[in-house]
Amino acid sequence: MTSFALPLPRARTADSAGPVASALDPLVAGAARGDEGAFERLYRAHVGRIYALALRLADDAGHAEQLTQDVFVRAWERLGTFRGESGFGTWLHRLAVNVILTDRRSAWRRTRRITPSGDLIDLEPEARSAPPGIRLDLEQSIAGLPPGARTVFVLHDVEGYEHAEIAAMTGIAVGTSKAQLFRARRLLREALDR
Amino acid sequence: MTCDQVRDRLDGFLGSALDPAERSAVTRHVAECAECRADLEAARFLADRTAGLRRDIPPPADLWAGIAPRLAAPRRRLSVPLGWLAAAAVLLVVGSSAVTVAVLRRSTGAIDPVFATTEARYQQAALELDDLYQRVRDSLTPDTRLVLERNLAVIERALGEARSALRADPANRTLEAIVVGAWRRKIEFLERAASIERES
Ligand SMILES: [Zn+2]
Repeated sequence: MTSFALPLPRARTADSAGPVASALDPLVAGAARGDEGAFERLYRAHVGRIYALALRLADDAGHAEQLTQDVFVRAWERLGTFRGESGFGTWLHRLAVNVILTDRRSAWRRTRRITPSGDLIDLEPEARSAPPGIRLDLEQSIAGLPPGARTVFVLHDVEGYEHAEIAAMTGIAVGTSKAQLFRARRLLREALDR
Repeated sequence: MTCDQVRDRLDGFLGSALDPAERSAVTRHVAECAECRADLEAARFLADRTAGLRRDIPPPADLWAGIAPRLAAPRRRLSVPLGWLAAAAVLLVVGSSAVTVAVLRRSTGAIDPVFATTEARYQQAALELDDLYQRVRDSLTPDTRLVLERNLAVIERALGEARSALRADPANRTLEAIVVGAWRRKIEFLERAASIERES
C-alpha cells in the first residue's frame, strides 16, 4: 500500500510512537511470525489509541468497536509487510486510518452521493446542529461536524497528520483538506462559544 | 501576503514558529481581513482545548475476544499473482463446509466461534481479492472503476446491514446465513473485478 511509505506524522503527542514502540520490537517480530500471544500484547498496548481514533471518526461507539477489531485483524494480516521503517504504533495508526476511511467511503457510496470527481465537500450530509442555547463540549461538537470536516480535523489537529498525508490517505486535494480544517475549526468554535 | 499564505502560517503564528518578518505580515493581514481573523480566532480558541483531548481511550469492553477467532494463520504476501483464484476457491470451499456446521449449531447470546472463524476466512479471501483489485484498478478506465465500485458498494451495504443485524441478534442463525451469503456475493464480485483484463 502506497500510504505506508508516507512520512511520519508530526510527533505532537508524547504517546504516539516513542520509547514504547522500540521496547515492543520483539513482540512485533513474534507477532509477524504468527505468535498470537505476542500479538495480543501488542493489541493491549495499542488498542486505546486505535479506539480513540475510531470513536472520533465513526458514527457511534458500537461501530467504533467493530472498526477497532477490523483494524487489528487487518494488522495481523499485514504484519508481514511491516518493515520497521516507522514505529509499529505509527504503522498501525496509519493502517487504522486506512481501514476506517475505507469503511467510511463505502458508507458514503451507499448514499449515492458520489460524483465521478468525488470531492468530499460535495457528498457529505449536513452537520447535525445542536439545539440553540445548549453548550456542547468539544467531543460532542467534533461528533456533530460534517464527516469531511470531522475527518480532517481529527487527523490534523488531534492526531497530528500533515495536509499532504491527509490528502494521500483520503483521496482529497491538499487545498480541500485545508479548507475542511478551517471550516471545522469555525464550526467548532461556533458550537462551543454559544 | 495572500489569504492562503496567511492561513498556512496560522498554526506557526500561534506556536510562535514564524520569523519576525512573517509574523508582522500575518499581524498586518489579519488586522484588515475579517476571514483570516476569524480563522485565527478559531485556531486560538481551539488550540488548548484540542491539546487536552485524550489520545488513548480504552474501549468499554474487551475487544480481544472478537479479534482472536478472526486471526487465521498468518499468510505471506501472494508471490504468484495468478495463484489467487485457486486460493480464494479453496477458502470458499473450506468456508462453506464450516458454514454448514455453524448454521446447524445452536448458538446463544454471543457470536458463535465457529461462525466467527468462518467469517474470518471470507474476510481473508475478500482482503486478498481486494488487494488484487487495487493492483488492477489503476489500469481501468474511470467509467469501469465507477461501475465496479458502485456495484461493490451495493454488495457492501447488504453485508454491512447483515453484520449489524447479527451483532444486535448474535444467536439468529438466519442472519448468520444472510451474512455468509453476502460475503459470498462480495467474494464472487471481487473475483470478477480483479480478473478484468487491463484496459489501455
Ligand atoms: Zn485573508
